[in-house]
Amino acid sequence: MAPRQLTAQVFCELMAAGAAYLEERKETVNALNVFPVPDGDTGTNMALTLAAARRELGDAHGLSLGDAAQRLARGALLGARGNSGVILSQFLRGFAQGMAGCETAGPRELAAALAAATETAYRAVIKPVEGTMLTVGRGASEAAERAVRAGADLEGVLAAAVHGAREALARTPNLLPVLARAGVVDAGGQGFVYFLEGILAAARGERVLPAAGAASAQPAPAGAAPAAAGHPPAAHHAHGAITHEHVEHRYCTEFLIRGRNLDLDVIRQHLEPLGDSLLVVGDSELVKVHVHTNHPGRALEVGTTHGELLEVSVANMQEQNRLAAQGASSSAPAAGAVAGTGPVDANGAVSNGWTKAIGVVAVAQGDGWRALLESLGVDQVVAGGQTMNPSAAELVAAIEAVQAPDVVVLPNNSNIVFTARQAMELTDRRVHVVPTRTVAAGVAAMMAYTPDGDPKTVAQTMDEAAKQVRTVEITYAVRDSEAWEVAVRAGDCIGLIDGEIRAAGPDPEATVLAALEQLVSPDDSLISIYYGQDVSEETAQALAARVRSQWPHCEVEVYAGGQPVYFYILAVE
Amino acid sequence: MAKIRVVADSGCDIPKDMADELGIRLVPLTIHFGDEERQDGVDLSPEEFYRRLRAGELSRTTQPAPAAFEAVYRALAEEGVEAIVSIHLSSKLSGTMQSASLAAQSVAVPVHVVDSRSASLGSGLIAIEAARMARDGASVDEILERARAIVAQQQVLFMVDTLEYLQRNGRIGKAQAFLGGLLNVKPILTLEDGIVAPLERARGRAKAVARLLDRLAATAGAAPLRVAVLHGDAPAEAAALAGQIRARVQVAELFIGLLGPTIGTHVGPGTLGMVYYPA
Repeated sequence: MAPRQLTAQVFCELMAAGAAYLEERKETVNALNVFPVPDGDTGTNMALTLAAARRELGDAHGLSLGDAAQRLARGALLGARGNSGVILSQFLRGFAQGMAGCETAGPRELAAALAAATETAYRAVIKPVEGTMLTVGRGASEAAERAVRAGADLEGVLAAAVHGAREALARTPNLLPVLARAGVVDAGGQGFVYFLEGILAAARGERVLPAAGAASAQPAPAGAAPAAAGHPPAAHHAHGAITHEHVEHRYCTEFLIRGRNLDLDVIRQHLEPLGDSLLVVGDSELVKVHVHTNHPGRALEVGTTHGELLEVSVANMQEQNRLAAQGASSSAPAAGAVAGTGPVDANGAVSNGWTKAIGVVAVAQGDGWRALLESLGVDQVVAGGQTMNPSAAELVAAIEAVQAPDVVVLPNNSNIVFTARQAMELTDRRVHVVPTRTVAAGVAAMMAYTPDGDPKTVAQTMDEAAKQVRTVEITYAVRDSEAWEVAVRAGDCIGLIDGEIRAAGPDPEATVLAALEQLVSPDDSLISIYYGQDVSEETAQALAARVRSQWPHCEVEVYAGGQPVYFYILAVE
Repeated sequence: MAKIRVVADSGCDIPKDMADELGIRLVPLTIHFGDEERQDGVDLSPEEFYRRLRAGELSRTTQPAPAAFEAVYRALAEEGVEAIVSIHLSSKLSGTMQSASLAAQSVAVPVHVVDSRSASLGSGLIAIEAARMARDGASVDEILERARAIVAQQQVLFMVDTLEYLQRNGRIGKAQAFLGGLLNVKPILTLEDGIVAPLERARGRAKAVARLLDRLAATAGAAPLRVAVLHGDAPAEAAALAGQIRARVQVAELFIGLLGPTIGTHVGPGTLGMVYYPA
């Protein structure tokens, strides 16, 4: 490609390439998690964040570079999942601020925007830690600035950025001892490097880019699996990618075909006559179709002749244009938000349909947890999708569905705390994040919750209550790890005490006992056992009996949490 | 020196012998078991009340009729009483204040009705102090001023074993928010603006008691306190709590009060709490 100037169009292509490169390597990034746990999702979260960003960007038709960067950033902020996704979205936000007002950009503007990106990302984190994605981003932007001073062109600046990022990544184990112990570099930093490497490769013309025009498609090296589930359909068309008023082919129709021996060419042939912007990607067992047509039914029929249909969505683009022209898309985020706002009166509560002063949003997986938390007064329980990490937009939707002017958010996972803080920035509601690191801590926080009172005080008391409880999480190791006090082999059960791996054992119950032996003190009076979806009630009750006999001074309560991945979650208080 | 007497209702939980000693006249509320009607403290003892409650019987309360107050006020006037201070359950919790106020208008002797904005010894302690002041020669104005001060400064903390009783009898107030809950939690409550309000919850009785003490310590202030420990047929726990209170804060005077049938109807057995203010 070797572009001289960065335009919106070039920017689109570079983003596509960067996202594709990371997407292909996301499992590698996931495996770098210092915790050998099944839900180590840095790569997937970053890939999902970029996918959401690109859907918002669309094909950037008719946009300036500054506007395109802004769109991308907005999509990233809303779609951010996990701490790594949030930090990445903040980089993109800073980059967009650096590009504000630019029609195009040269090497100097690019380096300046990269510097802005780094500055914004650091500012977004309350306690920035070196040896993470932040360090890698800074390595990239500082190298870019040096390159500009040395007279480099656009490609030269990008190359320097990649080089600086790689160097910083290599240094991360020196900065974060846990990385050195685990023998890995920082996962988020690696994801960031892959993103930049994909961008550089595209700038050098080293990769085949996806077909232009179908912005919703995942970057498509042939055979790649289509997009993840659960994202707003056809949102890529909602923001002016189509500027003419009359839409020739009205319905944006998307669906997956699941079958056997699927022939992409044949499917393409059958769909071509129905409209335009046709995209058919996938492999012999799963194909994603995207087409603009006036006959969505016929397109779906074609699909049914090849296999079964999944995730069907049909959107009326003419209507979307009409709404967009009316300015209906306000500053409030789009993802399924239920409008619950209204002027708050001087007393702040019980007006405009508010049922109380303070509501609660909590993150948890499992039907048992949902029922438990709702029974304690939580208004909205958010599950969080395939990585169990909800996007910022999903949290915003839950916050805005609460019928109260002040909303407390319980992330219940250390990888969701950043996302909760980001959600706070993306809504007009007054949000108070109580940074609970496990769902058991969330229960402790709910003990201090009252629906009325001063929200800041209530949030403060909830935070204090959450800190009183010590938690144990039992899962299994997906790989060997030497980074911890105990040796961990793939397949072992492992016990995390307040987030650190401190016990390992042949089976979940033995690991529970090993963890409790390190934790229970004579001052404790209650052990709560919440068993997951992979554990039967009989097994859980038998474990409870053993715990009672070993620690007779404690009450032991057993509840069905139904959570995935974690056999048991325990609270000791 | 004017002869001043204090009148209270059976919801004040002042022990009978103390009431007699201080000359405090108690007007009983009516306790209903189905169609059966009993007068709290007259023909219904706390022992019988709690036995029947624990056996699963349900009780209701009704306020004394104005006539009951009139009779007491007139009787006192006939004994030569020159002024009456009539101290009662929160008007937001009971119609007792209303009956007393109506009766006060129909008698010749001056009756000053005081809304304790509280219940049990939250009302009773005011009556006890008022009666002591009257015995020691204070004026009506001095007594009323002190009563108002106590009402303003008094704090209430209590835990119930279950919210059923409060809910069934309609006095659950804002503690409504704590209903339900699939965990074994004990609600910790207070009285705010004369009605029941939620403070927090605790996992089990031991933790609830610990939180009561934490909150007491946090709100005690510098001055020594007058404290009443209240219990719904849980004397051992009440005694233990009293000991822990003495260890935690400066106590000028401490009472242990059994919640009688009037208040017991609304909170149930197993209730444990405290009322306190600077002595």
